[in-house]
Amino acid sequence: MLTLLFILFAGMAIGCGLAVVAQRNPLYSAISLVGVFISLACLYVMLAAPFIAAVQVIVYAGAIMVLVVFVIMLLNVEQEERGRNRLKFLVPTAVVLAAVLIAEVAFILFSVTNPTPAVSNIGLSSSIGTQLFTRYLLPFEITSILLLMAIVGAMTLARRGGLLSNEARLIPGAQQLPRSLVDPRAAPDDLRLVETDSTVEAGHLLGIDQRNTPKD
Amino acid sequence: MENNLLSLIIFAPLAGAAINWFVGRRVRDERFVGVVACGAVAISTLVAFYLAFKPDGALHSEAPLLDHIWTWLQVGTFHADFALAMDRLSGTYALFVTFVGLLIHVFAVGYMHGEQGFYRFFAFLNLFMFAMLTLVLADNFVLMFVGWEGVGLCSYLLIGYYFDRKEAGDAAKKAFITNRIGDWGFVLGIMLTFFVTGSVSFFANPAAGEVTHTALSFFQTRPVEPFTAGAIIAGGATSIAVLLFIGAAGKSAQIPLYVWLPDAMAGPTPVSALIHAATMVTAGVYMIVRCSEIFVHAPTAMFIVAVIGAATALFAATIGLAQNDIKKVLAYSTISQLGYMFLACGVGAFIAAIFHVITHAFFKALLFLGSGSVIHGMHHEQDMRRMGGLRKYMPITFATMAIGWLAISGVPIFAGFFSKDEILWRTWSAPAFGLPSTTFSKLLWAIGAITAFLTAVYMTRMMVMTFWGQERFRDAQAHKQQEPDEHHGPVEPHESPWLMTVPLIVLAVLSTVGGFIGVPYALSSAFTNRNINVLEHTLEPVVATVPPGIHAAEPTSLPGEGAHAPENAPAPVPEPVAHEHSSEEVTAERMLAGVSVLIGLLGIGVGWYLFKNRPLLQMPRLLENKYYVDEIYDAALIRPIESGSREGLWKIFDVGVIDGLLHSIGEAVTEAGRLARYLQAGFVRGYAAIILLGALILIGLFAYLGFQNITPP
Amino acid sequence: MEPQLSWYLALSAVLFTIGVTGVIIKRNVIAMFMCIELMLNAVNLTFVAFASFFQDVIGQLFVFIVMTVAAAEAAVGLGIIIAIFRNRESLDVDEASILKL
Repeated sequence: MLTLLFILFAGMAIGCGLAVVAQRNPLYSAISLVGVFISLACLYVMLAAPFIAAVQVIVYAGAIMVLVVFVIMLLNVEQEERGRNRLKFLVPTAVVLAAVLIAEVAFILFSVTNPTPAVSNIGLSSSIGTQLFTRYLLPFEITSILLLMAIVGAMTLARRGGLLSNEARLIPGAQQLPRSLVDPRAAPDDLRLVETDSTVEAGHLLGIDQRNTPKD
Repeated sequence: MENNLLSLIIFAPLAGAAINWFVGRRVRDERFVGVVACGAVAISTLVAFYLAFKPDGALHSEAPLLDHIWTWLQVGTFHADFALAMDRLSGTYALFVTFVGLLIHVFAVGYMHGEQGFYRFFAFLNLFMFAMLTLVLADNFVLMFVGWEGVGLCSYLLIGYYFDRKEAGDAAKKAFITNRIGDWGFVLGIMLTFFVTGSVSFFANPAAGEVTHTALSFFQTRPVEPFTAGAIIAGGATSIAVLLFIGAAGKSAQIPLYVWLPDAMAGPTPVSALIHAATMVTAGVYMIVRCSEIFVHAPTAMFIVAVIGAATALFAATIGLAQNDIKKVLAYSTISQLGYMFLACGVGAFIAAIFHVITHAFFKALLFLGSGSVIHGMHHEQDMRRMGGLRKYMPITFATMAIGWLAISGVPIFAGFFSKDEILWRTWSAPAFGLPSTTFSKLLWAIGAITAFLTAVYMTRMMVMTFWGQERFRDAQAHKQQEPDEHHGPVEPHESPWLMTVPLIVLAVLSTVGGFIGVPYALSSAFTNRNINVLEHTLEPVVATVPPGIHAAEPTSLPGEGAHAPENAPAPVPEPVAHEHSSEEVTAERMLAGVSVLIGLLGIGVGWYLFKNRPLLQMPRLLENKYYVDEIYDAALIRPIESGSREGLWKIFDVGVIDGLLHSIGEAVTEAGRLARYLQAGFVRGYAAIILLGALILIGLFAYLGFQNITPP
Repeated sequence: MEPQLSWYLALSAVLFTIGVTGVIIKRNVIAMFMCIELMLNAVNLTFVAFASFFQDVIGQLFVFIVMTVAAAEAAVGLGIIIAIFRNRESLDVDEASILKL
């Protein structure tokens, strides 16, 4: 019985994993990854770790993948990149290396004896909670600091700073701006000028909030 | 005995060369350069004569005069020092080398008048005298080789004196390279001599330390080697002798290494006279006579020498018959006469060979200088077809050259008759030592006789074309008006200045009376009882003698140092010529002398008859083109070597292998760099792959280490 | 028979291999990021399996920490991706190879 379940969930996990790698559309890859997470959660339950299973579904499938899907939608990515693939040789290289890895792991796994599975109750929420708040309190606290760091980092990255600071102002008059300030895809040494007709338009182009411009 | 004056003989010309080179270039005064050059050689001449003729001098004493200048090579008992030795042989040589050299130097002052490189010429000429005298007076093989190379070098420098002419440069290179081929044999011979005998010295020199034996005396107690072809490669005396002869063949222009000498006529005429007639080309003969002790133990080698000498003599005489350049005729004549000298060496008549060297120096130098005078008087015209009737315009030149002509043709009382006749007699009566049989020696005599006939014919042709007959140079004037050379107007031949005619006269006198130093007993016995063969008396103690008979001989009681006395084999009977003259021998010798005279006169007569009225008689094309030997060498040797070097060694090996190796190293580095570029190209995926690779290696390492700790289940 | 430890470990290895292959092969940044998440989950499975078979809770606590770190990393990483996209308008990871801003 358990074997059957294992095979089922394992098959699902591997199938969805292959789908993640094989799909061209990143959105489909994201959905397949959710499938992997769900099947892994089921396996965790089989391994007597219900708390971890629940946390897996909540955090991974519910938070991280949502975030990823948000980003995919935001950036409007729909297909695999169109550019010329300059590193085509990496595909066979990756396959070969993967095969070697599988071989090594198989070698290792065949050399060891298996311990007997036993029923345990270490995966219950109460036991995890007990351990987490007494014996392993330090890692717990450091993890919270880590999350703080992540928040700060994410906020810093999310600012639309660009190349100009927020305090930048435009002096009224006709402007001539180098291309790299306006067009992020231009080369840094592209010095063709961008002509604008007014300060307001230049402000739009640069992303400077003209309402802060002092009126003189 | 030690005598320090010897070094003056060789260092005076060296000093002259140095002064002329460094100071003469600034001064640029012909008189200064000429006086320095001739003065240096004059000093050598005077010292040589003094040392030779003084009461206990070189020509009278048994032991040589020695002068150990400095220790050059010394390893244990092996010596090869810069040391000079004048014994009877080298003293004789030094005498005529310095004297004839002096005369030619004086002539050259007149001949080279007006040349831009006057100082250069005399510096080289003095340098040549230095090298030649070093060669002659050396007391060991190695120093002789130094002189040998030195004369080769000076020959190159002087042949190529007119360096703005391509044929002069080519001729100089040809001479040097052909000499080099001979030198290969010579050096191998020296090495083999050392290997076999343990010494390279000619003389035992007590002052420099006791030497138990010299290279030559080593062989005195050895048995004669057998007369087989295998002896050549056996590594004994025959091998040494053959190798030394290769060297002599290169230097003295024998078959097959004679090809440089006709081309060497591109140099100035005094050079041709001094180097290529009188001195350098006789260095080979000197070396063989010096090593006669080795040769008399090597009958196979003597056979080779005799055959090649005879063949060369005949071969060159036939070519000389058809040449139109006056100097080329004399060049081939020199080769032919050198063949005579080697023939003499080959049958054991070493003293006769030296005799012919001396008389040949006199009359050949005379002929060359006379031709130089003719060329000078004809404003550098050398083609005999454009001469003719010159005896009216150049009486002194004509008279002296006529004496030289008679001398070389073998007319009696002139010098050439005695020496050539001696050689022919010795060839006829040679024992079957180095020859398969005594009839073979008659065959060699016949070749020598035919050559003598041809010599007389072509010399007569040369004289007739130049001095008699119609003045063909007048017709040639009309054709020559367009040529932009040194002709300033109608060419009127004129006699040469006294600087040039006086040496001619002196040499003519020597050519007339020079033969009397070696009058053989058979001829002098008609007038007096004493044996007046001065040369033979002088040289006999230092030259080895040949035992008659191939293997059978009796122990000898022959006095003198040079006698051969094998220990186990029976020794030879005493040479009848030296001490006993049986009446049959005397009669036979007189008859052959008469035959020689007849041959000479017959040759003159035939030449006169053929060419007096038809001087421009066309000679066979084959002879005129010298049997196409140069062309054959070019096609068979030079072209293959050249193309082999160019295609094989240069293109395939040098460019392909060596340069290719360097290029491929460079390209390998570039390719490796190009591959390594990917490591830093900024491709994250590449980095990921490399990280995975590293991880795999670590996993594999841990698995391996862990596996060793596990007992197999 | 019941599922053995080695089965779980094998499954985990396979998932990890798939993930690492995806990281090397995929050119889209977000897809590459998702393959990294796959790798992390494979490792989580290993930890839980060991915790279950050796009766030690430390494995599951480790998974807890790993998940937290993965979440933090997801947030920051996606922020970076968006920032790069703003500059280049391309999500090809090979385009970001000039090693400078």
